[in-house]
Amino acid sequence: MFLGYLTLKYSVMFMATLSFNKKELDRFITKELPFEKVANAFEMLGMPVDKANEEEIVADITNDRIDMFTVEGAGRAIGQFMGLIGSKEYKVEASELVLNVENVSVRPYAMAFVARGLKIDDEMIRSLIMAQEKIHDTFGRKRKKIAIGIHDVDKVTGPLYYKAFKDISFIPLDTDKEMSVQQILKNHPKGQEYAHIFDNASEYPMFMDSKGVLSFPPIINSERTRLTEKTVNLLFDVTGTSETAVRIVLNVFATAMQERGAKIENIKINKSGMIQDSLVFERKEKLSLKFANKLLGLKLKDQDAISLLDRMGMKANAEKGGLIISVPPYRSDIIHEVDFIEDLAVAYGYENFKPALPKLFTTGAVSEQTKLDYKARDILVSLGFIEINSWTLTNEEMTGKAFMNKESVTIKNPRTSDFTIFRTDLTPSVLQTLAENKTKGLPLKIFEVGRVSNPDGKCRTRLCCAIMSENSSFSDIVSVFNEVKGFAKVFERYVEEEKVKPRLEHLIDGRFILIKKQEDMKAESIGWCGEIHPKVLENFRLEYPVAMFEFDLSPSVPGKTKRMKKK
Amino acid sequence: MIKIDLDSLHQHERKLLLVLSGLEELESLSKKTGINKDALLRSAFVLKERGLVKVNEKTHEAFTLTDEGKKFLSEKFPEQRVAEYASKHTLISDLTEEERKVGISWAVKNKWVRISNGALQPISKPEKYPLYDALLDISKGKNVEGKALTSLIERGSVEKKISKSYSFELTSEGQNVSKQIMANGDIGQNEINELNHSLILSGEWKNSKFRKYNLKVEVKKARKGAAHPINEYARQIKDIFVSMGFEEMEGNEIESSFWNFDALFTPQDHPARELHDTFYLSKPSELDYPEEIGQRVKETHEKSWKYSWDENVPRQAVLRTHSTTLSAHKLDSLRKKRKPGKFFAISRVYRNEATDFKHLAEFYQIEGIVAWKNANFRNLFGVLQTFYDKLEIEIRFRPHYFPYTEPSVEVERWDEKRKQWIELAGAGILRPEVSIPLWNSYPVLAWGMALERPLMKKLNIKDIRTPYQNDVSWILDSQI
Repeated sequence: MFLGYLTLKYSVMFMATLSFNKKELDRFITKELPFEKVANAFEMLGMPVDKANEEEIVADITNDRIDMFTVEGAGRAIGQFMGLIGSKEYKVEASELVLNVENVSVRPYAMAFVARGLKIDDEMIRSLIMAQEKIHDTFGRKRKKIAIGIHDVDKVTGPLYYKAFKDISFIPLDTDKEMSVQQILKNHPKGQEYAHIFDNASEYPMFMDSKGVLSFPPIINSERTRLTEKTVNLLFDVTGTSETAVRIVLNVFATAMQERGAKIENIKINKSGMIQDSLVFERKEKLSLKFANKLLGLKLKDQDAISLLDRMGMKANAEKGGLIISVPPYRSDIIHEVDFIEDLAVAYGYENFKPALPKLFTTGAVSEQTKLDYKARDILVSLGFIEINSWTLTNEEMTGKAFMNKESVTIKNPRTSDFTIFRTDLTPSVLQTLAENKTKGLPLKIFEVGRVSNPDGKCRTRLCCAIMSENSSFSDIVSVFNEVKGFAKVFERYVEEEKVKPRLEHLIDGRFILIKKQEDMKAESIGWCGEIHPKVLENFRLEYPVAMFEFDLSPSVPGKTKRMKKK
Repeated sequence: MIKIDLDSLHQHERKLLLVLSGLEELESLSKKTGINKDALLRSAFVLKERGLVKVNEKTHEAFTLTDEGKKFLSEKFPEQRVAEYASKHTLISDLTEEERKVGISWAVKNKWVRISNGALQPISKPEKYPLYDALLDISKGKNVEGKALTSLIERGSVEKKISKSYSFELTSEGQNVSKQIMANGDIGQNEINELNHSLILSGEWKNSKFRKYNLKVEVKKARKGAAHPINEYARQIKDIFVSMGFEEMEGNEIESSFWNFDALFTPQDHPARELHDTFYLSKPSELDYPEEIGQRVKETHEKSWKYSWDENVPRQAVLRTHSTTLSAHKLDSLRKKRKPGKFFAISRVYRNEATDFKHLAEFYQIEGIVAWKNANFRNLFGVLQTFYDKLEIEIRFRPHYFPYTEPSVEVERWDEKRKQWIELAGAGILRPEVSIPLWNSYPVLAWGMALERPLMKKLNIKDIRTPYQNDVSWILDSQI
């Protein structure tokens, strides 16, 4: 969705607002910088800054860079972007803990690692919890796809288990009473908030050690392994429905903890005898620099590309046929060569690209429909009509006021009672507009060129025109219709000539004509022109007569136009 | 002293000023000048406004004959007629309906007649009928009081009317002006009030003088026709794209989820697809998509997002949340024609959003693509820069993230008031995961722009709903 920002909720889908402590950021940038410089670096990396001062930087971090949801990752990215630190390599040691993963169909994947030797203070806890929560909300699809649990590993007794239970009891975080799964889902605030994830489940996932439950993902941890100011060694568990996503999130936190100086330990996973690593840091991909240069319109040499990639935290080597790039383990967004190419562009700086128009010669043109719209608009404006532009969504009460309730496209999940259906006619909104402007003086002459839909979802354009005055009548509106019918290729048809007389309840009987498309004389009429019935005027609280026409304004199908027979 | 241009006086006004001496009634003045009372009164009031004549107004209560009263005055009352017929023993069946219904009962009550054998028989002859005398007096304007008047009013022959009488006299200024007119001696010369067809045809205007108008009179406001500012602005934007060689795309507002989401690489568990963000339809609830492209999209999703792509989810019908659906369809048709091209569209898109001063459930999106094997990122900057230059908006480019473009760029405008950069457009090169299943592996430059935002800035609107309120005064005042 390009225009995410126009709707607040859409922007949430693509980014999260995070507040970073400036001092903490500086620590991971590896240099104390003026806040303006830091804010600018965020923006040039694609993260708009809402607020920046000596204490705090508030930025919108897009979902493709969840590594920058952590203060460690954000600082690292800026430090690298500014050339203060190069690409990094991460060391992993083996943990004594093993995680036995059983078959948990509702949430199949679980991985874990240990981070040792941390100095835990309030600021670190705040940023850790912020990153955890924002990843839950965005990348984690509100914990459905991914959830992270953090424990004091010194309170854990191995081995670890990940299994499904019909029911089990433990003391949830911040309580002092043992609760069963059902009690948590019903009574605990977090349980209530996320119970829907288990709507059709009969078994529930548990992350455990040999003494019992450590966490009930994605809902709540146990009180037993809570972090305190004495905690120095952490156990991270990540569970979810996608193996790739679980691993990436695990890597984001593992590398962040290493930035903080922790020693990282990989926990082996035992999945019915199959042994896997939780942390897999090694990933190499190839990039064709020729392709990159072609797509960007640049002439980068190997060395240019290598140093640009270095500023994006990627170590690259030139080999025959392309660059071999070590993908940082925390980058979730690299799934194709083009993802490297964007990093190259970001490091190159968007302001350094020379804009150049494409050398593809084409003739420009508006559509046939637009040509008709323009013509209708020009003629009616020249006749003193004012154009309106109204919603295509409406409701049955409004169409009912004009006796125009028809089968129509219906919204399954309307937000308000105003917008429940897609309009089939323009008349109700034109009458409503007359009503809203009735104090603006007479005669009031308005029109609309707008879209309507058939009940099957096929949309088309219609033209509607109205005159309201002391004595507006059929002849007034027909004289206007006569000015537009030529280019619109429509003609009038008298009701008595029709075999099947249409019922047009909103018009005064004997004071309206039907409108047909010239090429299709036998087909049904596509509109009408006449005097609005006073019962409709009453419904709209209109006090003066209204004469109107409305018909389909559509380009002729080529080859279908035939000369009308002379009588 | 009031300065009066004699030529600005209407012929009637001049005549009135000349003829008026002392205090005179409207009636007599009308006779003296030969101008009818209404016209004379109008002239008198104009002169009063200009301080030349004093108008005295008197309210009178007067009794006048109704139409029926006038009829009785000439034909006599039906009971009088009945009394006359009685002397001839006229048959009741020969009487008029009025005489039968009204005349007989009054004549019997007055003891003038009796009825026997279906004919009138005289009792006495009314010498004088006070009711008729009263009617006659009232018709002559004489004062009538008492029982007869009440009776006439009850019968509906007489009604009370409030009338006004006017008398005029010259003010001292008026006397001055009157003397000036006399001195000029132009009374009687033909004067043209409104030039008309016959005056021109006859050439009579040659012997006449044009009365000068009071040019400061307030006139009625003329109402012009006007296009809606949104449509006018859209037209300007279309003109810019056409001038840059772009062809307009069109398409349906109602779409399958396939074209709105799946074909644009939006995974099936993406939050944008949730009910509270997108309008889904119950009628039609499902729409088909082409199986062949569907298969390619399925493979791409499963390979890239690593999940099992459900073939039914894409059938769900939605109100398109963006007009990038049009670009997707266009790429599909370009593949079939094996042609490159440059295209744009300006059309409505829908979001399941409560409307407020900043947000709308329906709004316009400006959409565009350049599909060409040699297109590159610099070309994207080139197109966007040229477009906003032509719209006279200063912009900058900044990296951003959009799920279906890579590399991506956001276009921003500096807002001097808010001292911040405001988003105007999102753009990028379509990901191969989008362009390959729809088209081929050549680059596609793509963008989506807001229409309402720059329009709000241009017309200085605070509330984004304003253009859709269709206040005709606003439309007339907000021409671009």
